[in-house]
Amino acid sequence: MRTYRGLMRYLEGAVPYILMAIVSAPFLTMYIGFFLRAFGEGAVLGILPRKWGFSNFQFLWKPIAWGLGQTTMWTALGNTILFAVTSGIVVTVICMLAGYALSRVEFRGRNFYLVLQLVLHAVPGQILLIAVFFLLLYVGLLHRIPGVALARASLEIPLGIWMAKGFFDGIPWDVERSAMVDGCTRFQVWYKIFLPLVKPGIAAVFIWGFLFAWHDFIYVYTLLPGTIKVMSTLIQSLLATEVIDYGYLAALSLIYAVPPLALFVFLQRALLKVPVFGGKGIG
Amino acid sequence: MGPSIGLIFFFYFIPVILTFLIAFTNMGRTLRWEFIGLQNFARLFGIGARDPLVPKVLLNTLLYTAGALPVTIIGGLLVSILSMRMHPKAGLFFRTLFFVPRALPPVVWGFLWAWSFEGTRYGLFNAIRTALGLPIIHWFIRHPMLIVILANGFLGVSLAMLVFSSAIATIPKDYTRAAEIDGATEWQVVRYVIIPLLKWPILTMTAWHLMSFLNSYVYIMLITGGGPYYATEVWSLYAYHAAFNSYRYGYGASLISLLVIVNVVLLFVVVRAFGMRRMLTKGKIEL
Amino acid sequence: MLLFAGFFAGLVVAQELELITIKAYVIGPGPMGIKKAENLVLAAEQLNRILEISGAKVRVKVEVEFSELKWGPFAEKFYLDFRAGKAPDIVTLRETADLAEGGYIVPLDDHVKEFWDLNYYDFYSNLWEGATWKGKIWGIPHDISPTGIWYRKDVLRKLGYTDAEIAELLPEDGNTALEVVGRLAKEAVEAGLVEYGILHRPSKGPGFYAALLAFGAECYDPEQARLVLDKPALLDFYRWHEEMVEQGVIPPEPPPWSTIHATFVEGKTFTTWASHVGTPAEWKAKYGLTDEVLDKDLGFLPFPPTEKARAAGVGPVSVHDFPLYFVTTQSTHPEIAKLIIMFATSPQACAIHSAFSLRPPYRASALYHPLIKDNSYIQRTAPSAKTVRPVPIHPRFWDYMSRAFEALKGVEAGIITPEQALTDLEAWFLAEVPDGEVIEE
Repeated sequence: MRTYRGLMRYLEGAVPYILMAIVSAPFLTMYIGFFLRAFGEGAVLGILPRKWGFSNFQFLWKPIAWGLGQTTMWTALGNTILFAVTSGIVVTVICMLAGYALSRVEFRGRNFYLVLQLVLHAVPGQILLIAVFFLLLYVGLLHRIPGVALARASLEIPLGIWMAKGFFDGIPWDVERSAMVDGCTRFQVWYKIFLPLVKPGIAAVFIWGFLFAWHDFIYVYTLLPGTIKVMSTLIQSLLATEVIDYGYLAALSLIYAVPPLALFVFLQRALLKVPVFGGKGIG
Repeated sequence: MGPSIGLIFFFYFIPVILTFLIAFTNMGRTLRWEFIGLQNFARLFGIGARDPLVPKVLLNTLLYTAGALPVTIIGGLLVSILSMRMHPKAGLFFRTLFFVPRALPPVVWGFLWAWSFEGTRYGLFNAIRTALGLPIIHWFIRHPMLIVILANGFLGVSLAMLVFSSAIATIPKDYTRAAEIDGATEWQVVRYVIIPLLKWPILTMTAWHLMSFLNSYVYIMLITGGGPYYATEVWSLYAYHAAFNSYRYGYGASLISLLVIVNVVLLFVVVRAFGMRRMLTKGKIEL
Repeated sequence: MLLFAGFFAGLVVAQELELITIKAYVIGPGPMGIKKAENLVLAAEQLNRILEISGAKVRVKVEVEFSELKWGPFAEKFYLDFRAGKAPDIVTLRETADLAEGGYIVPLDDHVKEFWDLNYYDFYSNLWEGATWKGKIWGIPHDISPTGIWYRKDVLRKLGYTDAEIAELLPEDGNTALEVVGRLAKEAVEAGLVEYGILHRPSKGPGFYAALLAFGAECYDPEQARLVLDKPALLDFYRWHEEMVEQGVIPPEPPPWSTIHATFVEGKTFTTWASHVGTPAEWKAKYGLTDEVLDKDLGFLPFPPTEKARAAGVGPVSVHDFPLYFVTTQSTHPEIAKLIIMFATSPQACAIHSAFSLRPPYRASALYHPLIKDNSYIQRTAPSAKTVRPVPIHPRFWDYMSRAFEALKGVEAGIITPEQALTDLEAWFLAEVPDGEVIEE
């Protein structure tokens, strides 16, 4: 009986691993297959490259053609990081503020506002691009980085607000009440008490805002002068002809995917340090 | 609070209104426009010159959305719950794996699926089949919709899993421990403690991804282009084709406008189903 | 020279050097088109040299934004920038009619006439067809890459054909029948020498249009400016492709670009209909094609007509949607912009572009330029530029091609029959192209 129980317990514990392994196997295959190409030389037919080498990674140390001149991948990477981080911060700040308000404050049209956010998601960004272009033009923010960052951020804010609100909802009222009793202003409550408690939420929202700015091509390209160098434009330029160099693309994508993945892992670690508060019921 | 309303209104609301206006014109590529009234909408509904593809596109859209949404939600739940039950490092590994689709540029994700299911012996899965001595399968001819559903569904998993696991992490350990002490099995803990506490994120993800699948065309465009022979042409892709291939922005905008209306309707349905009213905790602070 | 002197005399006003800046947006797409941009800079240098010599106090600076992206985003950016009042002086685009009608570009008639004897006299006459709209010339051609059929001679040799026989069956001017290509492809497949007999494009494009023309399916009537649906020819087209798929010559699912290029360069495909004269430059750069193989084993010809079409008088056909240098209406120095374009399409500039991209020169005298007169590849493919046809200038043309291509994919995949494909296409045509012409027989 004991060993049987032990075995069952072991199996039960192993179930998640087995299930996950099965579900992830095809994807792992796909990723590996693709990234193998980055280490191949010349065209690859099938899965395994015939020749192996690092020539596809030359962009790491050699300049890349850009327009009539050159640039380095690091410049493009730097610009992209700047752009994505700014966008991420804007999104996070605004969503955290709005999420808190929507969670705690009672005002008319609250439900409507929430639903409206989702509806706005219905219109694809590319169609909006033309309208946004003219909007920025009249406001004078066209061809300037802050304008584009704002435009990009506002596309992701709707969902961010929903996500943030969810996190704020999970925090019991007592916390707030006691803080207010102690004489904090609402802003202080938000800043000093709530934010630390919703760290996973901040992480999720930030990644969200960051990611879409990281991948964005059409907004950055159309709304900024063509001389601004970002990674997404670089990748797009590899795809323009009908003779695509997949090894180079794979290598570039590998590097391009590293910062978001690193950010994800880093923020997930932050997630695991969630404070455990004791024994209060949900509000 | 104030800035967020201002920002959204400015950047999102106004462009949306403009798009609605465009739907009433015959704006072409050169961005000039003439007001042609409801002509665009009439074409959609088969009044006057009928558009023969509309019924098929409609069906495709329904199939696709109905297929991809479960993949995302169930997949997201599966990955987040299972990975949180494991050793933290292993869990992190699996979650990262499922986050990869979002970390890759869209064209690469699209290419990955197009290559994996390529109908020659050089496609990834067919290459494996060939190595095993099996004949190749023309995946894109036989099951294009399935491929597209999976590709988009698992892309959705990356976000769903992120949100769900973040939410699970905020569940105080006391709850689960209390349940375990009472003798609940793993499955019961999941079913009766964790999932109910995830109600808001599940609603969010369902509603958001519903919108997403109804409206996004990028990945379908990259993987099948709507083919073969319109087998995967969904509404949003059709609108995009109308707008950008034929440069009939007006018609494209009218398709979009209709889509937005459908979105709103469905959104209300979903929200009702989840009993959102009850979930919106009443604000305790008076303004 | 007198023209120059007279022109510039008017510019000599100020004491210091006046700098005129000309902005240009040029697109590849891809890296091969870079000389089109560099030629503009070279043009400014040459113009400035003349200005310097003539003592004029003015200089011209050209700022080129060269983009390697696809046409879509590039064109959209141009239109939006124009609306914002920030358009460049020179731009490379293809949609002459839209641009002219929309007031985006200035007509270049007078300029071309004025400098005809100096610069424009030996541009191949078929090229002006793509630059003309409503009787006026609006742009200057500067980049041609005719589509056609590439095939592997080494495969034919292995089948037992001599070089002389090959030259007779598949002559370089395309004076043969399309069925010959089909027959040879079938032989190669049945002999097990290749994996794929014929690979065509996986998406709509000029090559697809060329193939339609080879079947005698005219799609556009330039005199009436109407689209045409030639039912019998289209039926032949779809039926032939269905047959080829049944015989294993064409695969039921068109492979993606990478597979097409890779298998052809490695000799696993007998013929590809997806490329153009300039493609070998990219094959060399990315797929490891060597000059030796290019010279010995690869053959090119424009699309030969089918027997039936040939009997009806259709000749070998090649198509390219070629771009043009345009001068925008927002340019503050249009006349100088035109001069820059003129220098950028000189025989020297033409040769520079040809040598780099392996595309044929668009003007006859460039063939003798030292840069390319010894390049055997360019010399032997040069005649294709003389017969290349531009793509029809009709706003719904590519929509039409898109439908026709999807129908082809459906037929090849076995989803629909050729007859059904034609019926659907006709239904679309009648509904969507109100002024279209339908040929019943």
